Amino acid sequence: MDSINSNLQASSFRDPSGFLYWQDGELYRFVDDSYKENFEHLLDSGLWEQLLKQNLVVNHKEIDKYKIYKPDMLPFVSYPYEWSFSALKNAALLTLKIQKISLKYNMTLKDASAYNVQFIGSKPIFIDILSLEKYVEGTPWIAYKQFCQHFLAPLLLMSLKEYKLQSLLLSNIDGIPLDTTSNLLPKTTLLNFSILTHIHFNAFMQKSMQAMQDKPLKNNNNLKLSKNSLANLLTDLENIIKSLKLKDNKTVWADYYNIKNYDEDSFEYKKQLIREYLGLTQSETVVDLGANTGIFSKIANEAGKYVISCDMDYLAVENNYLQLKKEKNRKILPLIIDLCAPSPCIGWSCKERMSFFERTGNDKTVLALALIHHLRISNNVPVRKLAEFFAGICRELVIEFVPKEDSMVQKLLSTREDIFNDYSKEIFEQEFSNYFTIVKSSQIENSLRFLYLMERK
Amino acid sequence: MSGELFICYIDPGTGSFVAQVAAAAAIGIIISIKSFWLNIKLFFTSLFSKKQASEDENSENSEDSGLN
Repeated sequence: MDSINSNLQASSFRDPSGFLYWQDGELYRFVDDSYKENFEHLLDSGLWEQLLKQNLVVNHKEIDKYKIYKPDMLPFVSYPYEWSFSALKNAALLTLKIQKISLKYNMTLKDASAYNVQFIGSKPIFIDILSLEKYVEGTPWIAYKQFCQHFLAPLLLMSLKEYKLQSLLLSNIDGIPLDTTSNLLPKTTLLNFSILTHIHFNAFMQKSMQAMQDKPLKNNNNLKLSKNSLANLLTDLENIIKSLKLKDNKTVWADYYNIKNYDEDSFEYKKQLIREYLGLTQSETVVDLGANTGIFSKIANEAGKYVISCDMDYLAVENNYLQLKKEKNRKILPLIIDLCAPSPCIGWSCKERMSFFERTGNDKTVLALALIHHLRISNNVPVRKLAEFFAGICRELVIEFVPKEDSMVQKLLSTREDIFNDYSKEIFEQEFSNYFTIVKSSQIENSLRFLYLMERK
Repeated sequence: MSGELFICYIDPGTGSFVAQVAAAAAIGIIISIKSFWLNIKLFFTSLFSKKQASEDENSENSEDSGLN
């Protein structure tokens, strides 16, 4: 048990029903005796089989019955503050769907954390089987408040106020507080019955009860809710979430490829070159930094790679996700990542949720296309620092160098003094050669740009 | 179990419990009103369509008789 304790998954400590731990590089789930009764019901009632049949939960292989299970490994772990609006919406709908199915088998979700959902490509999947417990007739949904904080609040704020408010999920690990949400939402939402009840009234009641702390309710158990009423409540939550849409705001990047920086031939040549370079890489996972709406992530995917398709632009990632969802793609995961301020580690002891680059590790292939000029000129990172940075996050690197003469760089330089003396092809090659071996390089036809395949020394 | 109904490892918030029960009750009332309204609508629609059908039948019969 001591060896287990020393290899505990850092985020797995809140629920006493069990925990995740690592052994010989494999992940296992330990089920505590206190959960055995619930677990037996989960397996014997047929709920587990049903959830697996519908592909809603991660499969667990039995190692020791009712004790140790081995969950299928996820290709990559991502967090709610990295998901696009529609991804978060689908994660919310998955949680409600599981709760509704569970009620039919007399079980209920005892928590509704957004971190219990993960994505395999564009498909959300529920990972925490110990969240399901036996339903007691008349009990309200214990996870209602958590569901509103983790899902409903951010979705409403993104849809009705400003999509960038999603970043509040980063500073609030247990979801956006309902009083904050109530204050931020437009006053017109008071006229919407569902928002009025689930957010404004909910926030008001929480505040009122806090004020009454010296006179707490004598018996919580008087609060009863029939199964039918609970099902109606879930349907109402489902309806409001389904009705939410992201306002059609165009950003610079979401429209990037429509503006066209390349002529057709040059673009095709670039695609061909990337296909060839990626074909020479070993890693099964590609991290596409600055993926925009994911055109080159698709090429990496065609080369047989699982792709983490990142961009800082919310709407570009949203477009990417919607397209992949339409195609039922399970191999490209679109995430909102700002390379200048990537997801940090957060939570208890700063270990509960890992930083983005802790999760990618340093042995994957990185795709950095049309990116370096933004990092050097817009974000002022010296080329030497850029080389050091890339060497720390990947083993193989496919990178595009965009010279000063390029129209996009000229645009960036038009509003500032050119203090970027280290930004040239020669210095770029020299600095990157300190950390990488340049395996291949080629000029992109009909452009001034160069593409490189590099391998860390 | 039922004696310790609300002992759980996350804080469900008493206020949120009250809000949930009230919300579910309000949703229940709305659903009842909706279904009551739907029944009234259905009643009149079926009444009207019956009337219409019988009128159609009558007119068909009269047309038939005219043809005869």
